[in-house]
Amino acid sequence: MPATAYDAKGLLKSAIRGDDPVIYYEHKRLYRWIKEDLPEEDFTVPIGRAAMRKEGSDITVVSYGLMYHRSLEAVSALEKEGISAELIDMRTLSPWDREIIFESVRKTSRVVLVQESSKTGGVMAEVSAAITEEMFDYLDAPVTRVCGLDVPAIPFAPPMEHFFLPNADKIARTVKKVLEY
Amino acid sequence: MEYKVVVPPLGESVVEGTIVKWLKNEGDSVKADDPLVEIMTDKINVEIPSPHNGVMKKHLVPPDTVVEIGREIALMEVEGEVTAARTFDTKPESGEERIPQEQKAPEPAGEFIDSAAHHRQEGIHADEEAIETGIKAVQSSPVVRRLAREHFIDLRKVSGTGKGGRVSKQDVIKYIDARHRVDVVKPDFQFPDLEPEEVIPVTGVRKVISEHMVKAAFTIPHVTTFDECDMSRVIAWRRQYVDRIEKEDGIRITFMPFIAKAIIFAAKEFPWINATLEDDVLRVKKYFNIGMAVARENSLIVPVIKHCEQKSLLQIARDMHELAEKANADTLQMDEITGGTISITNAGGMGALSSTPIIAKPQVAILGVHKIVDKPVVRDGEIVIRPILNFGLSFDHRVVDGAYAVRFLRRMIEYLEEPDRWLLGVI
Repeated sequence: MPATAYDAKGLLKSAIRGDDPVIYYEHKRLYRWIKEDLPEEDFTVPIGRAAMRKEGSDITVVSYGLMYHRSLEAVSALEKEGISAELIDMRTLSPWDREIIFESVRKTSRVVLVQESSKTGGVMAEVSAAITEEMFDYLDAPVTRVCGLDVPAIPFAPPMEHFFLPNADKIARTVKKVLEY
Repeated sequence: MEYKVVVPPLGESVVEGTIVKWLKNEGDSVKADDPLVEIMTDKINVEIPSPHNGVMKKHLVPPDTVVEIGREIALMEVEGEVTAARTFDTKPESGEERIPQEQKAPEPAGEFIDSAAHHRQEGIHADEEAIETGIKAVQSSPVVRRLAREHFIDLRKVSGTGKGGRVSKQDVIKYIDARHRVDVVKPDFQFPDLEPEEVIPVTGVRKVISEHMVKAAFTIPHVTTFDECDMSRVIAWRRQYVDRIEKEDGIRITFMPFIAKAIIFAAKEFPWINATLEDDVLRVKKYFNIGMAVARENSLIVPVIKHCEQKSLLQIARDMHELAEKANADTLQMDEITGGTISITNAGGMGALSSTPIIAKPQVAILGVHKIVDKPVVRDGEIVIRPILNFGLSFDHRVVDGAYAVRFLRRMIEYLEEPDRWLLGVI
């Protein structure tokens, strides 16, 4: 599940070159939206490795796909308020990179997980459960998710879409709430 | 072979010496242990012996040169090989100066003393029971509980800033930080380098000052008498005129010219105060060359204002200003610092209330001027507040008797307390 053009190319190549079957997700919203100069030489992005996009000390924000960009927006805004958030782009959902996420939790003790899909049964439910199971002793606040709402259909009207989808505002608010805990 | 003569260690805390004279001329033959050169240090003069038989080939430095320990000062031609043992070691092999054990600087204090035993002993660490009770009593997160156990913290002692007073990880970290800060053993003052002492050779001006002071202090039987002067009138006069004069003439008349004039008037009656004593000859001066001590960075100089008896207050002020500037610029000529007949030193500018100045030999007296302070004094049976200047007059008791000096000082003060009588004549 790439969030950048570089990852889109690198992950696809890894998927093709790998012997295992791979499900490769693309976010439609990113198609005509992200632009990036890529190196001409051959490169791949390994499957199962998340990317530390920004280092911070107060809280860890984990996301992927389009939500990485929404999270980046939120984290940049928070930085101006003096909140130092660490931002991780998962890049691969299965297997996902426990190492880098756990390491970050050990450092910050507070986590916000951001996914676009509905809260129930999403990728972040798994990540949240794993952190609570394995990193409990390092937590200073509840692991908290920012997700799409648990509704049966995705609304199309812009105001309703805004209401339904996570955005930078909602992410920033949640980060503050967790920090205040 | 050629042998280089170096300045050997000349004693503890001596870093340099001055070549007084060469005892072996170039070309002289030298026996081992013959004195080669005489070197003066601030402690003693020493003769440096030759470590070998040979011939003095060349002096590398002339007499009167300041040489540091270890400097090569001469070349000798010596018989045979010179063994290392016969040369002077300027420093031990390690290259460090030998410092007695007790003078060694203590190890710098560490960030903090971080031993569990120390902490427990000091009561900084909570015992197990307190830790567990604390965890149960306080709302806290898993990471806080872990930290409490790891760092022996009773959470009840940590102030929580979280929601509803919850203790957060940040609170615990702050608590640990503060706890360690209590531990830090810091000296009151830490010099940037850890040398146990700073070695400053007394040379140049400082040495001259020191010699003069010793000579004056230990040959002249000093006595200092104190008396207080009500400065109201002089202050009032200054208040009235000094700004105007400064505007017109560019010179601000301080109290010093007034004091100089008062000395002159009083000395008419008590002339032996303004005199010099040398080789059992007292020269009572009919003129007043008044030395005024000027403090400079790290030294002191006493420029002399010549013939104050012929000068106006303004002229004395002008001369003082000029000489002080020259003193600070280090451009005083010899005749501007010699020939004094009496001196004034103003310790009051720095805040002193009293001092016992040392006479500038061969003069007979020096007047110490101090801070003017508003003091309660009795006038006509009433307590009133007056600006009081406490003068200290040091005099040579060989020349002047106590009563004479005390009366001089009193008379001088009378002139200052009633300046109107003479002011018109000298403005």
